[in-house]
Amino acid sequence: MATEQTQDLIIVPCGIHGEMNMTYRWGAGDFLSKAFEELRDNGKIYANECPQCGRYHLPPRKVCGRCHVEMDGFDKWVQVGPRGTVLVYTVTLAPFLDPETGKPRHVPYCVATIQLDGAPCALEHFLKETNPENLKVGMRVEAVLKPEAQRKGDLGDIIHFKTVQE
Amino acid sequence: MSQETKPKAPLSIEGAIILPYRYAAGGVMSRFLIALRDSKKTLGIRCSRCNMVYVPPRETCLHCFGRMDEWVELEGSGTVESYTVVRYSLPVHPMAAPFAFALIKLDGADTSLTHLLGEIDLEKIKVGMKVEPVYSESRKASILDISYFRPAN
Amino acid sequence: MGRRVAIVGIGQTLHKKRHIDRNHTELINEAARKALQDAEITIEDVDAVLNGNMDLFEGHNLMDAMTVEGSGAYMKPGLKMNTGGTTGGTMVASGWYHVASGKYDVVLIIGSEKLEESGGNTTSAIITCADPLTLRPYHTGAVGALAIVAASYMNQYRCGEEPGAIVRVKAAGNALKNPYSHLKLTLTVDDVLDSAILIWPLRLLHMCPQSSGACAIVLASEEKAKKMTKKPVWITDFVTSHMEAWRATFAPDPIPSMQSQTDSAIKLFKRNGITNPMKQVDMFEMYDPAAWAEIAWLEDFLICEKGEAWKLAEKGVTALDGAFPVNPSGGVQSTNPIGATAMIRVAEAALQIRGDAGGHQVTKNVNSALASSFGGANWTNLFLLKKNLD
Ligand SMILES: [Zn+2]
Ligand SMILES: [Zn+2]
Repeated sequence: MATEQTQDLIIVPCGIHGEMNMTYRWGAGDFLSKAFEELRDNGKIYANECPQCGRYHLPPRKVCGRCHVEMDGFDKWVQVGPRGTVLVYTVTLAPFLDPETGKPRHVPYCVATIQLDGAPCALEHFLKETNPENLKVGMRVEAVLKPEAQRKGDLGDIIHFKTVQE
Repeated sequence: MSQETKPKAPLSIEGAIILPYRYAAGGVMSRFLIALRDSKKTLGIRCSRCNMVYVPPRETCLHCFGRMDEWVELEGSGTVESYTVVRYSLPVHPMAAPFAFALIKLDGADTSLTHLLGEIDLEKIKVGMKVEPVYSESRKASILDISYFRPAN
Repeated sequence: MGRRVAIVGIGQTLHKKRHIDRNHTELINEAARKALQDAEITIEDVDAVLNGNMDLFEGHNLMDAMTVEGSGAYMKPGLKMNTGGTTGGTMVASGWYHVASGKYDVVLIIGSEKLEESGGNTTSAIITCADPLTLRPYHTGAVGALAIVAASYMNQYRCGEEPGAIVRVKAAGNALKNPYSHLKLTLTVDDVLDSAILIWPLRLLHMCPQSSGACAIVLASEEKAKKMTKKPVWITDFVTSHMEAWRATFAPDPIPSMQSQTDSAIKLFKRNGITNPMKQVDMFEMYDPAAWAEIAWLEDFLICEKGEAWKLAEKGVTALDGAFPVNPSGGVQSTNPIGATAMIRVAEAALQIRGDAGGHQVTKNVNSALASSFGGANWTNLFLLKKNLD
């Protein structure tokens, strides 16, 4: 990438190819590892409950952020979904650069907060539907999973939530 | 207390943060870089209160917080004040290993410039040796418009 | 409670899209010099220098190390802080700790950002603050979070799109009177409603800009402040409150409510005997990164009843000449150099108390003001500033 010059001022690109490129490896920890293993291997979504305040966490956390107590282990986890109710949604039309790739994200996409059936907790994920005219708070949706062989053990194993009629 | 929660294997996510940036050099540093690119000249800036010459130049004197605007032109040659030899290669390095970084006090300057040494036997670098700049053929208004410093005759 | 601390000097650069004629060090230097000049002191009188700036918003790290000659921190103690949008508020709080503790008498705090350096990719940098496994793929930065605030508010109170536009037009009008503000737009409600949607239902003109600029404040102990200036502004009290970063995962929470705002208001008001903030405090410089945030958060800060805030701008209550002016500076909606943004809220509130705001000085007499910050790590600073010591 070339150095720019505006009149007598120099503006330089940073990094080797005009961009910063830093790789990382992020450890998920026991609880999230177990939760995403269940999603990948068994297609199941779990939440866990704080033994003190009774709030459910999705995906399961090891510590409740409010009570600061250790949460119950896998034998007490509750399976939730795959259906749920949309609590709030937004539709992104501006093509932001995805910081993981340095390339623009494909638009439009709809991100919703979805209350999954089975416990009072919610998940942030994509909706298949992206037209605001077909979206509404309270609509029922269902998780669409990748074929088992393609699952990697992250939230992307759920492709999106599709609209369902009940 | 929590029951055991054992995943078959701990999960770790590999990713990257890739973002483009541009840095505005500012008026003072731009003048230095343009002189280097267009006329192979090394400019410094003097604080009249502290009687100090800074290379590369900056707008504010580190010592007295005064604004500086007295430009001086230097010969470009200098003295090695300290050095180190890099023995491994990284994509961000300006040269393939082994190569030497040096702190070079340019004649007429009161600060040291961090730069590279070239055309030199890495085993024979000495503190106090005289060096002169070798300019790049394709200069881009960068500190690497000086490719490196070599022993002066 | 510590020693009493006053704001004795304030400096800002012009905030704009690009400062290509100055590097980051030089930009900081301008704000620092102006604040020292305003306090009628020199850098020798300063005991410590603190910097605030966001990581990944410029192409350089550890900006405090790189900008020493600009900040004046040479051979002085200091810290660099980054707490997301609250950075400027965290710095005022930290400056207060430095002075109130008795360790230092005069502290210079400088918040800065050159968002031009990331070429408009602020949102991408913000996304990197989210958990890479469970949130990053869906994260749309501040724009997404504020779109949720807007969607939730409109859904809850069925107020339509117009209130957000009225608030934006008010902010634009105030910014036109503020010589330092970035966006100087003459806007109508229709302009806002016709602007492009970024993230439905949030439109381009609802959202704050990406600015380059710096703000600096000199804080001093009571003893020093009384000697230095006839117009000290006292940091009477402040509260910092954190939320969980994973807010969206808890369905029982009312989603639009920012608990850290409410929590900080409850604590601050209780400690200071405030039962009716609109009557007992004269104005509010709120951290308002989008038009709908000003509306929803006035309720979260317990300034008015739930479901009432969307009517305030239309009635003129929050205008420059209103009963309770909100963001007479034009707010974050008009100016957003992120590392400085929250400090500008405190600086602007202090200028109003001093009567030095100039063209955007509010009509009423200002003896006390609230200033807030909110940001990335889901936390709030809420400040109460006063003209007189209690
Ligand atoms: Zn709990
Ligand atoms: Zn000097």
